[in-house]
Amino acid sequence: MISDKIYDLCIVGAGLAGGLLAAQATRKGHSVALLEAGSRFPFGNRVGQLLHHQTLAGPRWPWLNEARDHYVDSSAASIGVGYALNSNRVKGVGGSTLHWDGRINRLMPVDFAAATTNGLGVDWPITYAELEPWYSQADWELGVSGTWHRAMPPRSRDFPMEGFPMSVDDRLWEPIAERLGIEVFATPWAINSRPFGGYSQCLAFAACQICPSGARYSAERHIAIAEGTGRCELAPETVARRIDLGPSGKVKAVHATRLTGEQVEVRARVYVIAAHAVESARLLLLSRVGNHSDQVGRNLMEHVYVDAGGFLPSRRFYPGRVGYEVTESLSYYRAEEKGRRGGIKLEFTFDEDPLHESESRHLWGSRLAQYDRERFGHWIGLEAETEVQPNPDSRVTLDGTQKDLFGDAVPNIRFAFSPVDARTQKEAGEILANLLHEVGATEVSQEPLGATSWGAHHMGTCRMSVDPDKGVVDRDCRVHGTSNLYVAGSSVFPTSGALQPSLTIAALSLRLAEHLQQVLSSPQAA
Amino acid sequence: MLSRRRFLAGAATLVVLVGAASWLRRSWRQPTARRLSSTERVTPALARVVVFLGALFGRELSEADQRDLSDRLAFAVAAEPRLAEDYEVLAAHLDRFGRKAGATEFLTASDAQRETVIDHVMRIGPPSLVERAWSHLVRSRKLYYQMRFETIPQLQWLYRHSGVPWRARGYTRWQGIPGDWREYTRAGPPYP
Repeated sequence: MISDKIYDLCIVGAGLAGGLLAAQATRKGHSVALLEAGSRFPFGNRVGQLLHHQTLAGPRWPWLNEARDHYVDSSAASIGVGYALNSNRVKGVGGSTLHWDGRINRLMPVDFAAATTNGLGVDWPITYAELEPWYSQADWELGVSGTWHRAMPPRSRDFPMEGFPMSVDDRLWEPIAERLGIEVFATPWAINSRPFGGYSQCLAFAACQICPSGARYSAERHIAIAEGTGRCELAPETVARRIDLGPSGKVKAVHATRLTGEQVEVRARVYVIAAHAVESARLLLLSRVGNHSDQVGRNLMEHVYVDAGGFLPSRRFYPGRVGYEVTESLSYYRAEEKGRRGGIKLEFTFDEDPLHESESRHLWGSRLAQYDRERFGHWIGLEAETEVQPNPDSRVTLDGTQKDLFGDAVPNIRFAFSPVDARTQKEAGEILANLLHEVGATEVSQEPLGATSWGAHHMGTCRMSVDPDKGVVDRDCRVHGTSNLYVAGSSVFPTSGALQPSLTIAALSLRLAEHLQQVLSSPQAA
Repeated sequence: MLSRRRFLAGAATLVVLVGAASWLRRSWRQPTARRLSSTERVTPALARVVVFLGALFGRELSEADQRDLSDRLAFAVAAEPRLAEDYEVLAAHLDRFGRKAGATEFLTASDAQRETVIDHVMRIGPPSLVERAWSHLVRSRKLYYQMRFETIPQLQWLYRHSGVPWRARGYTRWQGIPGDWREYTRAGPPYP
């Protein structure tokens, strides 16, 4: 229960960044108020949640509150397809780690110097080398199973757990990759390959997104650590609505409202907004904080997945046995020609289900059963995770017409692509089609953009930059023009790379936690 | 001032609309006339839905399959009680289409009659603009399209995530059943 006292730290958002920050601060003896708009979903009910998912499907997720999570999407006008924000985020204690695969990668060193090395985007104000120790710490905090491969970035410490080996299906690619001169390796996962950190090893429920065994990392782990110290007061179903910034640039309070309607005022020495790229930007905009250079909400990024697949009648695969694919490749990550296109990472899949095609092929009854018999286990899929360039016109704004249940302007999201993004996606499609032809697949097809998947990786909107005119936070993640307000999470990313953002979120959070420890230990600061 | 011609055209339209609404109401009452009490109504409907799923996916359901699907349908209804009515609407239409195909009801229909019913249900096209407007006025039409474009997709999802298709493919384990994670490094079962 949030009290009237002055906390050392107030964190808005109990996801990956907020959970890690709360754990680190409380471990050091600091008091923390942790506000979360969503509910707490007891771990003991994971099997029930899985059954819910299997019977009732996506739109009926228990964490969705339409009145609270309402938004406007203007993306169709700019990129031709809409964006289902609520299907690509989770509001709850644990945030989006309540529902994720657990695939976890570091960004490549070149991603931190995208403008210098690739002629695109901007350089980060920090380097890979600076972040590397925090990446290593993040591996151990989250529990990452991985096997180092030379295509991966350099690392100072080994993975805490042995990686998941390639599947019997993955071995199909090894001779092809060797012939074509591309490198494939086993993906690191935030899933325990052996018991680790007090949590089970993987029990192969084949449902990683709602892992019932607890083997897959969730930020609930770190929130439990924080609460276990007795120094963290967690307030679920409490929506932060305004940041009260004094004229000196010092935040005086965060004002929130519980779903019951009760008003909450939280006072602290330091405040961190870790509410996801959309809501962090929205809270700053609603509060008129940090937006002196009109940068808040700009450079919204996502990873666009380009999907292709083909039929391989001569080989038999075994889809659906575990919930994840294991192999990936960084061989096409950067184009040889500087500035030509963004990053491309390849992922290899075998999980197409012929029964999904019932509607599109007008198949049912005995014909559908026959089709399943002929096709199941003969489909080979490829995905390319592609980089989207930072673009000031791709942004989150406050909608002028629609309000949430508290009467606040809802976020209006508008993704925008540049010609470079279009080239990246086109070339990704060509690479995939070429590989499928090389493996001998027939009926090679490619999903149109938006028909399949986005990464559910929201980045940008509160960009990190040493220049206050070009970003929202400085290299310490402090909001420019304020003395005690910080932003954590992927919203501070200046570029997206083409790799999953979770480990970078964790590394930046651990780095910020260290900075805050220095701030909170200093009597004159904050 | 309304011209005589316009008055007649308006009156004729009104007669057509009232007549159509009355016919639709009658046609809707027909399959739902045998509604059971609120506590009993789920079970007969679910029995029809289970058989429907087997026919839709072309599978002869074993006892284990039927139990699996029944349990999942019961879970779905418990989690979202409004689905009880959705399943009841589907079951009523299945019986109605079954009678049209020459059976007494869907449950006792022959395989060929069931295939005819499935074909009929699955060929229901998306409503035209006029039908969509009509659906706002006539609840039975709304439920008819809801059955095809909401209830059936939800049931397809449920079936695909149940053990039924996986058992048919020779698997002994599928999503939700734990086991040895190294299993995926070895070859799996052949399609029976």
